[in-house]
Amino acid sequence: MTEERIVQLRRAIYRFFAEHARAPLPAEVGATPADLRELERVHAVVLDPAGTIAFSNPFAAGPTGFTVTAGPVRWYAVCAWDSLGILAATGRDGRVEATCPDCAAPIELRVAGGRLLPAEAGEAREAGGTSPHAGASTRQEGPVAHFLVPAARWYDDLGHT
Amino acid sequence: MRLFRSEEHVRAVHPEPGAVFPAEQLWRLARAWYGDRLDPAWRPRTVAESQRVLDRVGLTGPFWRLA
Repeated sequence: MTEERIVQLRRAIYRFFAEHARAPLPAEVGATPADLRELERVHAVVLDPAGTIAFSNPFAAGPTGFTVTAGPVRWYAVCAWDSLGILAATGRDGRVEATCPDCAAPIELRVAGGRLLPAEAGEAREAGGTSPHAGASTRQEGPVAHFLVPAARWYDDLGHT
Repeated sequence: MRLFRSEEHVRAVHPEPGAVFPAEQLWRLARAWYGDRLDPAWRPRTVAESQRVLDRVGLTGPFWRLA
């Protein structure tokens, strides 16, 4: 497959995800299953065991723990970065919903007018409770982003990154 | 990568964390990285171009070296 063909398919896949909030079937973007396998080989998509698109950053085909909502539309994102990436790419006002991996409290980020809105006081707290780490030495107050994997290894395992 | 309530929550799960930074910086990264993703003329960046994106939003140092 030529590089130009790869780029064309990637553009079509992103547009389909943005418009339909789901992964396209190969025929819906003028591709074949073999084309998708080639896209996976060059790290443009991640396929599930059935050979359909699971990830095409920033979009994910199914629930991931990162939900992006803009009006009536809901997308799934690969990660927190990609969650905001969907709003950046679509230019939509909306919100990102995730869960703190430590305490399971809901975390919401809101974007309006191209700006990330300040987190409201207590926004990330469990109802009726406080952080289990209240009183601990202060570092960055949240919400915060955490990258576990250094950049040089991002493509080793996109699902883990 | 994931969102946590605060850095303390990160360290509760990862005593030796990777990189931690505020959501506002993550938004700047998201805009710089994905802002043109749906442009009809979008093309993949080179590694050097991607590195400049990271640099531009203040993500510098060994952790952020792409290659």
